[in-house]
Amino acid sequence: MKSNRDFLIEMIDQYTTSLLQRARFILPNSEDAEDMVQDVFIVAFEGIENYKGNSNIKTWLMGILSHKVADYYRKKYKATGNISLDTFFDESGSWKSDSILKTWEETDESLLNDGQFKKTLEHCLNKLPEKWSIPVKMYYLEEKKSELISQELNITTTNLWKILQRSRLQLRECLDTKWFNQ
Amino acid sequence: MITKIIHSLFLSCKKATLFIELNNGNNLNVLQKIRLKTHLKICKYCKSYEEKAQRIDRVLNNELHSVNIKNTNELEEKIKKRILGSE
Repeated sequence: MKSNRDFLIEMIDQYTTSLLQRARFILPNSEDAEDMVQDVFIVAFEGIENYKGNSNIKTWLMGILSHKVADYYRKKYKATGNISLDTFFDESGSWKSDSILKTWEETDESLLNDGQFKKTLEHCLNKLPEKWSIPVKMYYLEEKKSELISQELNITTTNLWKILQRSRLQLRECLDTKWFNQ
Repeated sequence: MITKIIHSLFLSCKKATLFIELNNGNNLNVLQKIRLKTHLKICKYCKSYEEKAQRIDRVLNNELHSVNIKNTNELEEKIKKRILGSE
């Protein structure tokens, strides 16, 4: 039988890269992301007895990572605060600017293979306050399970949707001015 | 004038952009879906926004899988040392 020690070493060799990839998606600062991956393995090692084969190892580790992100978020952001849409809509709820009508010519394919576009996207994501960017990124990491995410982050689902709406409006504007119609 | 009528009958653009988000996450009921669809048929602004919102959705999905990670050997050694080092 494999010892816990061997089991851990195997896990570290096999899953550090994919864990770090996810952690970096959520926390662009590489030091924070690396710390978080370390913490995941510490928790995993402590809980190794509880694990022993019930779910897929990767799923288990990714679950621990999500919990860590949620802890980080809950500690840092106790309340979501007011999410205002006044930059985008007037008091009747109509668009303030016509800029939304401008077309985005490029195809998805050419965008996704463009390193410069990737940089612009990262720039725009970094301009979102972390209080919003973490829920948005969790929404993608957790395959849009909105109930689960709002529970973990301790925000209401209503607020989660508002954060998603507000963030996407801002991302649209940022990408429009920094990339498509610069 | 026409936008005022649209808003009172169906949805404001502010609300429609929230519905677009909910729809993207598969969280609209049938009635809400009809309201959104109707709004998008008459409002070119929100129609244009919806297309862009979907694009951002695809791009973010892709971004999640394409974060560039350099060699992680050093980090792996560091973690092993930290957890097992004292044994």
